[in-house]
Amino acid sequence: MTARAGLAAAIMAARPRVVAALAAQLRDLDAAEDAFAESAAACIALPEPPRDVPAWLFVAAKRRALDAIRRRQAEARMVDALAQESDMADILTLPEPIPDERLRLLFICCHPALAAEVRAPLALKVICGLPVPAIARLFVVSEPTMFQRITRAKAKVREAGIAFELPPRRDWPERLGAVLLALELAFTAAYADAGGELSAALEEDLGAEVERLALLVAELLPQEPEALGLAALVLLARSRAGARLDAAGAMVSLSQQDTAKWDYTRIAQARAMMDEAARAGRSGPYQVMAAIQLTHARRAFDGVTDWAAVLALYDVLLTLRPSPMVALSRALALAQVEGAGAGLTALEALPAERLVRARPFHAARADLLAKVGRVGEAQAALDAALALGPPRAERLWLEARRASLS
Amino acid sequence: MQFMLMINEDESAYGGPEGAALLEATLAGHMQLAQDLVAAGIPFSGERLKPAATATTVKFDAGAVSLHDGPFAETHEELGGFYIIDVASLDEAIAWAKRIPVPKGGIEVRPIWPMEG
Repeated sequence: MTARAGLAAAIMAARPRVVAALAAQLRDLDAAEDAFAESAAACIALPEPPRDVPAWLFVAAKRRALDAIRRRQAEARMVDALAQESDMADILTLPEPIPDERLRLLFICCHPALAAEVRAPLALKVICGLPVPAIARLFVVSEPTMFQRITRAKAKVREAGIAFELPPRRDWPERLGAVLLALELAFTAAYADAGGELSAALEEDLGAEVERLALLVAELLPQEPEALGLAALVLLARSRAGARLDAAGAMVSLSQQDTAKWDYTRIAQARAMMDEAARAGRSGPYQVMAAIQLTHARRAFDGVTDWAAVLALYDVLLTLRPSPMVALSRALALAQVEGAGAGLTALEALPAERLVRARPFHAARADLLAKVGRVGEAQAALDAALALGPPRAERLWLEARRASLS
Repeated sequence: MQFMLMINEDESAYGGPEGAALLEATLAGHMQLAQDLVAAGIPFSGERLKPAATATTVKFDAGAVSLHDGPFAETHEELGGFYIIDVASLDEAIAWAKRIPVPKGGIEVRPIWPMEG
């Protein structure tokens, strides 16, 4: 890595902490982001990179924010209070310890008073510094729409009086639910990008950004087993990134993946997090989802998949969080345990009208229909999946299966 | 900062055989809430409004003024009353809004535009 790339990476890594500390003091997300952007640009322009990048960024950003406020000649009292602190830092010329306000910022970005669909975009924008075009692509909306959503959310944070204080502990369950849901939406969106097409087009590794955010949430809330469970889930999904595509760029289904291509550091990390979560003695949907993925990961060690265990876990998940997609996954596990016929019966009992737009539904149906010898219907199901416009990697995979049935 | 907590409720909940008892319980809830606000030292005011059937709406359209018999919007929930409270944040305002007795309906929480200077 060149020194310049190293500095850029250090600036990105420092961002959550520095922006959070700025936001907590300035009580304005835009001001915090602008000040950080200016200080990051100034940092890159330095002849020599600073020794302590986060501290340099924090002090420089704070000074710039104060200048901006002075220029606006507003909120005189706040300027005085902040100016005193800043002048002290100037006099001492020692790096200020950066207060850790990341949890506060996370709770603000994922506030339940904000629409659920804007929380993850706001967190990715403000905390991770992901550019709006990338976020728009991730959530499959147009750039102007996403820009407007984020702008509106920031305005609401500013104007509606959303607290910049950490919520009291008793409110955490409700608040945590909003944080985890935001993260799950980001994860689902990033994971749908099997071929990394979005990431390549944007020169941003979206999966890595979502993983970074998930690990941050788990680090900040180590007492919350569901936060650990979700982070483990993200790690397990990411552990297979190197095995999800074949040489031609087609998607490789989980059961066909070459386990030698999995990332065992991530699997081990996920496992440790799940052990930690289990110690809290409070299970939940994210822990169960992670357990399902860990059961799949065990194929690398055991050589086979314990489908009975997977089925039992889907049964638990279905009671904790019933949804047609979970029921669909359960039907596939059932097919492995009791045969394709049983799986197909379970699948046909699902509410088709709610799944007709879901490509996995048609792909799963095709798989089970082919196994019970109903080849014509299997082909039709694959055609239905292809008609829904899958991304390239998935399209190649579906086409290969379609060809193998002819 | 100041917030207005607008009580939008289904008036018909107070009709029917159980209505009188429900209204009594709701009013008692408001009395309790007012006491709690006083005890918490929170500046507040609030009023109960007469039923939406008593409302008259003055409508403006391109300079023309007309009167309309009824509330501004014909919905199942009507503005039945409001509180104005002075608290530190939206979070605190929401916490108080959750304690307002509403048999059926919702509370709209809105920051009040601060007076300059």
